[in-house]
Amino acid sequence: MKKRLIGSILCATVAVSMLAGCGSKEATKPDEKKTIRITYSAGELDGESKDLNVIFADFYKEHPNCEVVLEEGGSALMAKIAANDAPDIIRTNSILDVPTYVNKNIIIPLDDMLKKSKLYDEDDIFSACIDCFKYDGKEFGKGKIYGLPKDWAPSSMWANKSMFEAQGLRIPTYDDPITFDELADYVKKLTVKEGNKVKVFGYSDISSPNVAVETMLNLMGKSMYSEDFSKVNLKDEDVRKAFKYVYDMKINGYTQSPLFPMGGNGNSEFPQGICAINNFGLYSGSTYIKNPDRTVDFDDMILCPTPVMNKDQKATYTVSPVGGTISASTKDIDLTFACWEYIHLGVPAQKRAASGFNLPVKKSLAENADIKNEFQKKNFDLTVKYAENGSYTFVRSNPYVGSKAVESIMEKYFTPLLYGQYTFDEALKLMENEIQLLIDEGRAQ
Amino acid sequence: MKNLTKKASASETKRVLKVKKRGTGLEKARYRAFYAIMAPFIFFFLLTKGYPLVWGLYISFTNFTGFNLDNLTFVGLSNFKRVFADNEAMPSILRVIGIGVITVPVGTVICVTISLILSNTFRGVSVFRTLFYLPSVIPAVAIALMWKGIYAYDGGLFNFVRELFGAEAVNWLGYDYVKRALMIMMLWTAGGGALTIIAAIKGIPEDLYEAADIEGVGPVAKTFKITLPLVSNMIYMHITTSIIGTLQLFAQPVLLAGASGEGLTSVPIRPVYTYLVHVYQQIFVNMRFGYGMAMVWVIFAIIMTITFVLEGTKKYWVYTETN
Repeated sequence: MKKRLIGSILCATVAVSMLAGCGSKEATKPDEKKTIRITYSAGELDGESKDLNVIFADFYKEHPNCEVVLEEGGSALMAKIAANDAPDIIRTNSILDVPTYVNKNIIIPLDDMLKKSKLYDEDDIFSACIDCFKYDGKEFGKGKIYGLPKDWAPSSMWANKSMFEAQGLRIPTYDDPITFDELADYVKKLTVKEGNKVKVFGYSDISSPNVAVETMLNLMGKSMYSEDFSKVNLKDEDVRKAFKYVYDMKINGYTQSPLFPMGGNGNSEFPQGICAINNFGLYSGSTYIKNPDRTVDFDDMILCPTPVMNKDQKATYTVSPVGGTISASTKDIDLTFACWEYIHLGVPAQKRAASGFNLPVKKSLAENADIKNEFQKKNFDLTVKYAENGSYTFVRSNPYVGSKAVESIMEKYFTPLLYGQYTFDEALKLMENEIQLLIDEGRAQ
Repeated sequence: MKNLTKKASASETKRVLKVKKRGTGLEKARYRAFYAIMAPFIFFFLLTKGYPLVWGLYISFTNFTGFNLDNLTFVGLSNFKRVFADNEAMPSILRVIGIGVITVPVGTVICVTISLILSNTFRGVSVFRTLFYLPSVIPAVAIALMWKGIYAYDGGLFNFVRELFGAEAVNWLGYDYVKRALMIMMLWTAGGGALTIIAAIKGIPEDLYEAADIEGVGPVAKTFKITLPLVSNMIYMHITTSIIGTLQLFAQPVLLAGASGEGLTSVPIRPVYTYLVHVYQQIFVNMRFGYGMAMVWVIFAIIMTITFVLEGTKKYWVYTETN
């Protein structure tokens, strides 16, 4: 009897202790902290501190009952959205992610809230920054505003002046950019091989063939997608030429590939003289300063515009910055917007501007940025001028199929193509079939 | 009198049978106590494992894409049919089986050999046991990053050694060598199962070896006639878990040989594009949740089939005390 009683008490204790953790989400006390979940990483919020209490100090003064927590994005993000558990503020690549998110009603427009915002002044914001998050379901620059970049820069590339001069090549300038054909010729001359190994890559990296191809096509006024994005066409002669361009760069070792790996994406390799042109923009300059293995002189690192399609075209930059959007399933829209506003237009934005890592969204912050490092300051000012005076375009992104899915399909067939597993036409056909299948599935939802 | 005796026996038999069927009061109390103690575990198991299993099975019969929960359509077996029509799914299963055909037996031989050596007592044996076990406690991400450095084309350890002996550097993570590279990395952790086999070897009664010594049996014969049969159960378990682990290969190829994409959505190159990588791509990149779940149930069925077949072979080579 006694044993039975002790046994029953023990069972009840175990059961109650296991159930003790369960509780209702809705039953929160009035003074309990409200949580705002964001998918940024701590290091990219204000460029100085990684401590959220420091970063959000001013925000917490105005909202003492609020706590910001960081969450993982990436593949976990889609799973959370599918489970109706999306974070409040989503770190979003404007051009690559906004079409899909808008199409699937994952994010909400911010126009009404921006009108009431004291920090948002449309005239003081670079128009490219607004346009890259302004989307009408088909085109950027029109429709509703879904977010803002946390920082940005016009697309640029870095050239190693000594290597160019050694080959008798001219450095592109913002008034006189090079064409893609010239770039193909340059990288051939700049690449240095020793047997099977590439000692110096002419061009650092073309990581996303789909973006590179679509950029070239858009500069010609063309696209691999139809006008309404319902079809993908990789058989078009210009599309084939663009893919061939990327293929030739990779197969010959002018840029890195699985055949000729470089190790990194160019940001570490360029200051070490392992690549002659680095395909990344202003922010790379900040990484060069911190590189302990740097052998290239700062005077040899020249920031210049990305190529154009023909000689008559003036320097045109593409914009694809990372920013923040607000989830459609956020519980407290006013509080979430206040946090969003703080990150993108408030104190962290000022600190990010002062770090010189990239351009701020606000023109006033860009023009008055107090950057201490001479190399950073020089390139920062050059980029501000380009941003204000240059013309820009956006890479077309299909709203029916995620950019990562397209990239994944391209890589799946591009790499075997490099290894001779497919012919060029076979690979393009397989890519086209798979992308079209995804578009059809996306449109059917 | 006879009838009374007969009746008494019959009713006595019935009573005994009833008691046997229902159990005595003590047995009933034991069953009740068992289920009462197990109840919380069973409840949470059903909640955290059972419910997702059933939900996943349900999803596999729909067109769920992550965003159309309010608009789900029942598609019958079309997701399952698609697995066999998909130009990547079946080749990726064959690919992973091809990897397993080498890594499972070789890994088992390595593990058993290490166990046989380290089950002896000699100076420093515990250090070696730790060293061989260490790879299995290091997280997969750390292992993959470490081996990525070892395999690096420029300055990687393997190419450094090759060049030291005058050979040309090899692209270990390229098409031609990546499968080999992956298998070497997997076999590097083969010593993890040695601890359990060593424990089993230690449990073999000494008098068997003494009797063998008296009979003049040599060390090789002792190993094959005494040691291996008596640890065959552990070896069987090791083979089964290795097969299951290999068929579920995912993180290692992605982290070691990812050609593009970020993190776990990275696409490894074709020779190491395994089945679960394809599943992950379908669910998290292409947002085909329904199809991805169907793929998961297909691999589950394959794993169960292989496990049952292996179970069937047990009687031929696994020694248990009852047979």
